[in-house]
Amino acid sequence: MAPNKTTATLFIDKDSWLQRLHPLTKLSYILLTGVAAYGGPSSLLYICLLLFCNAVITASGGLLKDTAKALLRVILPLLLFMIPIHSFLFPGNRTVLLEFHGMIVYQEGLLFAISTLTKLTVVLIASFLFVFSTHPADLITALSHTCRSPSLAYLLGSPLLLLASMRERIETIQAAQRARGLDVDGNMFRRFLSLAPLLLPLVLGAIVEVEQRSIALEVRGFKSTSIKTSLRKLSDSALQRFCRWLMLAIAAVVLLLHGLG
Amino acid sequence: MSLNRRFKEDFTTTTVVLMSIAIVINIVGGQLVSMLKLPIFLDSIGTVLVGLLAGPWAGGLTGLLTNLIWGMISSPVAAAFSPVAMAIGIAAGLCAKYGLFKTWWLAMISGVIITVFNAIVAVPIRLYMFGGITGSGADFITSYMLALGKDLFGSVVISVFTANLIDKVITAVLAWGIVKALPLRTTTRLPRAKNVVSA
Amino acid sequence: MIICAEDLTFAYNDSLMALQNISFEISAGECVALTGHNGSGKSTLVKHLNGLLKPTKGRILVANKDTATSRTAELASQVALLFQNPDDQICKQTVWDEVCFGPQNLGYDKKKTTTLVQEALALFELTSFEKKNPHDFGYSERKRIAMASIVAMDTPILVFDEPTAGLDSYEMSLLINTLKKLQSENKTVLVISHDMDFVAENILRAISLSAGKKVFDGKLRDLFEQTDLMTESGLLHPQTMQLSKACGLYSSPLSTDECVAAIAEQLGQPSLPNA
Ligand SMILES: Nc1ncnc2c1ncn2[C@@H]1O[C@H](COP(=O)(O)OP(=O)(O)O)[C@@H](O)[C@H]1O
Ligand SMILES: [Mg+2]
Repeated sequence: MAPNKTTATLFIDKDSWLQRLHPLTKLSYILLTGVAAYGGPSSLLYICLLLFCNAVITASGGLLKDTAKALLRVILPLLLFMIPIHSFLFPGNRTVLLEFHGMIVYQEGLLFAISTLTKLTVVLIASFLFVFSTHPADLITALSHTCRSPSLAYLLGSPLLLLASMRERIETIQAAQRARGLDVDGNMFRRFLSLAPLLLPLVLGAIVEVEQRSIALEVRGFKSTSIKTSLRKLSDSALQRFCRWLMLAIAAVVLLLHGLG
Repeated sequence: MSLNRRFKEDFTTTTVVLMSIAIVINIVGGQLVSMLKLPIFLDSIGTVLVGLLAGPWAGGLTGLLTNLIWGMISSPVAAAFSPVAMAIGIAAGLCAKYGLFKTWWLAMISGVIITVFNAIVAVPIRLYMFGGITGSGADFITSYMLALGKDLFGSVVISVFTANLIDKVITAVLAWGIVKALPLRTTTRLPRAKNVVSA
Repeated sequence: MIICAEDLTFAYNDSLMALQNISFEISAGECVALTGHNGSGKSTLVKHLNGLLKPTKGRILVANKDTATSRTAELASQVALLFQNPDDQICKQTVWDEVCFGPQNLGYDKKKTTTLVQEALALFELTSFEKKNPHDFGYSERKRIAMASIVAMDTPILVFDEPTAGLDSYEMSLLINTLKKLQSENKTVLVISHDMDFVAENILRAISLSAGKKVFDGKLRDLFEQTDLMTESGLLHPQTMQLSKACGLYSSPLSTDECVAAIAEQLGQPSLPNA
C-alpha cells in the first residue's frame, strides 16, 4: 500500500496507531473537539487544556512536526489579521491596554482574538490529525460502507483521479485559444472576457463526455446492490465502535447544555 | 430507507457522473482564475451547473462534497465552509426551477440571490468559528466597516456580500452560457436543462 | 526568410531536452512537412512560432521579429496554429461564431471578418451548418470547424498540428484543396503529419525530428531515399513507393500520377487506360 503520489493529498504514510484507527472514529473525534471547543466553557484555561490533549495525541502518533508546520501556515495569516483588527476595532472594546502614537490596543478585542484563535487551533489540530493520518481511499471506503452507496464512493473517489488530466487540459486550452489571438494577459477587462473562451471548451467537453462515462459505468455493473469489496482493508473493533458512540453522545450532551445555558 | 435506495431514486448514473465532473470543475476553476490573475474565486461554477442541470439537491451535494474533498487534499478550513457550498448549489437549483436562468439578465439576478444564500450560511460560520476574520481580502472590508462603527455582525454581512457578489454573478452568467452552448443530444438527456434553454 | 530558427533549444524541465540546437529557415510561400515519431518534439517546436513557448537557448524569428520578446496575442496575427484536438478550442454556440472568434480577436472589421469566415466555411463545406452548434456534430466535422477557424484568421503563416488524424478521404480532399488555395495565396504553411501518403502527394520539403534533434531538412524525395533515417524517425514510405518497389521498379514515385507513369513505362506503354 504505497502512498499514492499521483494524486495530491495531505496523507502522510506512517505506521502509527492513529493511522490504523478507523476513519469514522477520527471524524467523530473532530466533531467532539469542535463541540467541546465552541460549546464548552469559554475560559482560556479550559481551551488550553483541550489544546494540550490534542497536542499529546498528535505527538503520540508522531505527527507533531507536520501538524505544527501546517497549523502555522493556516493560523499565521489569521493571526496577522485578527490580532490587530480586533485589538483596534472590536466593537466591545472599552479597556485601554496600550497607547502607541494614537493607536489604542484594547483588552477586550485582544482577548476575543486570542480566544477565537485558540478555539480554532484546537479544531484545526484535530482536522490535520485526520487528514494526515487518513488515506483518502480509506475515508471513501468507510463512508460508502456506512452509507451503503457505491455512488457516494464514486463521487468522492473519481474527482481525485480526474483532477490531473483536467488541470493539464486547461493548460492546453489556454495555449489553443492564445494561438487564436485571445489576450489572456491584457488589462483586467480583457482578462475577464477571456474567461468564457477558456472555461467553455473544458466544461462542454467534460459534460458531453458524461453520457459515455455513465454508460461505461453501467456496463461494469455500477449500482448493483452489492458493494464491491474495496481495495483497502479497514480495521474496526467493538471498542472503536463504542468510542464513536460515546464521543457522539458527549458531543450531543455538550450541545444540549450549551443550548440551555 | 437506506441512503443507497434514496440515491438510486434521486440520482441516476448520469447525474452522479455529472456531479463528479462538476466537483473537478469547481477545483480547476480556482486554477483558471489564478492563471488569469482575476480577483474572483470561480470555485462554485460546477456546483451551479449541477443545480441547473440536475436540481437543487444534486447541486447542494456537489458543493458539499467539493469542499470536503478540498479539505482532504488541501486545507481542512475548506471543509468548515462546506455548508456554504451546499447552500450555493441549492440556491442555484431553486433559481433554475423557478425560471430565473432563462436569460442572461435573469441569470445575473440569480447570481445576486445565490450571493444572499451564500451570506446567510457563511456569516454565522465566519462569525462563530473565525471571529469574523478569515485571513483573506474580505477582512479589509470587515475592518473598514468596523472602523466606521458598525457592529461585528453587520460588518461581516457586508464584507461577505461584497466579496462574493461579483464572483457569484459571473459564475451564474457563465453557467447559463454553458448550458445554452450544450448540444441538443446532451440537453435532452438532462431533463432539467429545459428550465434554462426554453426548447 | 519568414521563419528563421537559430540554435533553438528548449527544455520543459531540467531532465528532459525537448528540442536541441535546431536551426532552419523557411521562406515565404513555402509549404513544409514536419515529421518524426511521437514525442520527437514537433508540437513543442511549432509552439515556439507564436511565442506559446520561449526558447531556453537560441532564438526563432518570425517575420524578423524575435518571438521570445513578442506577446502571443500579437504574434497570432502572423502565425495561426491549429492544435491537435478541436475540442480544446471550440467555445461558441454556433459554427459561424466559432469561426469568427479568431478574426475578431485580431481586430478585423466586420466586413473583412464576414468575407473571411464565409470563405473559410466554404472551403471546408460547412456553409450549410453555420447556424448549428459545433457540438451537435461528430469529431471529424469539429475538426473541420477548427481548421476553418484557423484559416479564417488570414495570417501569412499557418501551422497545422496533425490535421489528417481522424479525417475520412473526402475530408482529406477538402484539406488538400485548402492547402492548394493557401499556396496560391503565397502563404507559408507548416504541416505536422505522420501520413506519408498525404505528405508525399502534396508537399515538397520536409523537416524531420528525432528525440528533439533535427535529423533531416530537404526535399521529401531525398528523405525517402534514406531508409535508415526513415526507420529512425518511425516513418513509413508512401504506398506509391512501396507499390513500385514491390513491382521491382527503380523510380520512386511520390504521387499516384507518378506511380502510374512509372508502371506504364515499365510495361512499355505510353499511358495506361483509365489512368
Ligand atoms: N507540457 C509538457 N511538460 C513536460 N514535458 C512535455 C510537455 N509537453 C511535451 N512534453 C515532452 O516533450 C517531448 C516532445 O513532445 P511533443 O512536442 O508533444 O512531441 P510530438 O508532437 O512530436 O509528438 C515528449 O517527450 C513529451 O513527453
Ligand atoms: Mg504532437
